[in-house]
Amino acid sequence: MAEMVGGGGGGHKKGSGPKTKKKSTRIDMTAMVDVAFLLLTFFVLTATMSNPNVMELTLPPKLKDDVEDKTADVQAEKVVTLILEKDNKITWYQGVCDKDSLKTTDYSPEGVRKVLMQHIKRKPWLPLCTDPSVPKDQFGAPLDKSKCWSPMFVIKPRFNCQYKDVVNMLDELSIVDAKIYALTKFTADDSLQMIGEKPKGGK
Amino acid sequence: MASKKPKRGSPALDMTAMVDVAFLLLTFFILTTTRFREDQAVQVQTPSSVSETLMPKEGAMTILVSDSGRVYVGIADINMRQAVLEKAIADKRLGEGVTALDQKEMNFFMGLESFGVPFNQMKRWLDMSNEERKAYKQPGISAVETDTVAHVGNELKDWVRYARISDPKMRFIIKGDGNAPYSAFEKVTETLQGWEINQFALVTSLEGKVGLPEKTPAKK
Repeated sequence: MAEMVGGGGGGHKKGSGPKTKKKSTRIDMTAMVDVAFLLLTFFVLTATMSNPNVMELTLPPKLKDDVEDKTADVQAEKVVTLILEKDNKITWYQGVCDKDSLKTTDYSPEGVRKVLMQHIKRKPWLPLCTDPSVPKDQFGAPLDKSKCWSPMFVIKPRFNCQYKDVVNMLDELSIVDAKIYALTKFTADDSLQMIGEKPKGGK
Repeated sequence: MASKKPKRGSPALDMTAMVDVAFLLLTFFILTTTRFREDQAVQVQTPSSVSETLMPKEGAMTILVSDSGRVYVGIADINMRQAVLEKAIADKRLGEGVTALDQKEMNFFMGLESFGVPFNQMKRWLDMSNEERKAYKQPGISAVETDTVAHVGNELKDWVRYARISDPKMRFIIKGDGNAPYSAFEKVTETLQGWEINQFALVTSLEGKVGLPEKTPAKK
């Protein structure tokens, strides 16, 4: 506190001019403190401290009409397709769609996360293709694809599912550190395949 | 029996330390507050994720998708807002006769964090008084080629184009409500992909760290 020490007595000095009246150096800070706290409260409440987080999403570029649709040659066993249904349900199948191989799960940690982990670790004797120890060519693709395992995931949201389902799914994929996944449209062919019929526009 | 009165302390207490702390905090908050909360066209409850990437503060256009599937647009930089709106005016989107806005209208537009008004109502909306504006519900921006309700084309596509002309490095952020239908989100991504913008960010709120169902290193 800004309090002077030593000037207290005043009467000890003798014969040295007129006695100046010493005022107390304490000031009443109550009003100032009130204002300070008012301002503090205001700034605390208005401050938007945290910047929201974002999740990066890259979609495959749309094919132009004059460009031939080059379907990537992917082994069916590597692919798990996850169809997002309404009411937090997920229908999934591995490989080629077959009416009898459809399974359902949900967004709980014991649900879809387990499915994803099981698929990633299906071949534990092979390293993942994204692993740095796997020899790669100049474009970052593994030199020998038979010596590494690259699990892939395809997300197909149905039109009646919600935006948060998609975000949850992308989030699950990032939690299990899945490197290869795609967000694609759920087409009429897909729904036909799911009930065991031949797709109409199939190739 | 005169009981001994406890010695009363002085009611004035030493507030110096407290005042010091209060002013320190006050200074901190004043200096860190960059801008105050601006007018939001719509409240959006974002879904949560474990992503820790921070949202870019500048050079971004946010496309909001409300829980009812309406689309709104917000631009982060205040000066960019003016540039984008001027592009729209130069393109005669606000009506044939509108060649410039007065300072009051422009200032109001620049203070908007997000908006969702079709081009043909934009001028009238900017002219409204504050009370009228409060009563007016922003209908959102059409993101489909033919909007049968508002009878307008894909206006989001145009906003994206004006934003891209104003700043070729503009990034696009989608801030969707968790309960928004997926179809609304898909319309937005398709509109962006129409301009060959294939990379964007989704706003999420941070959730706690989650563990994997089984520990990977322990199992060998």
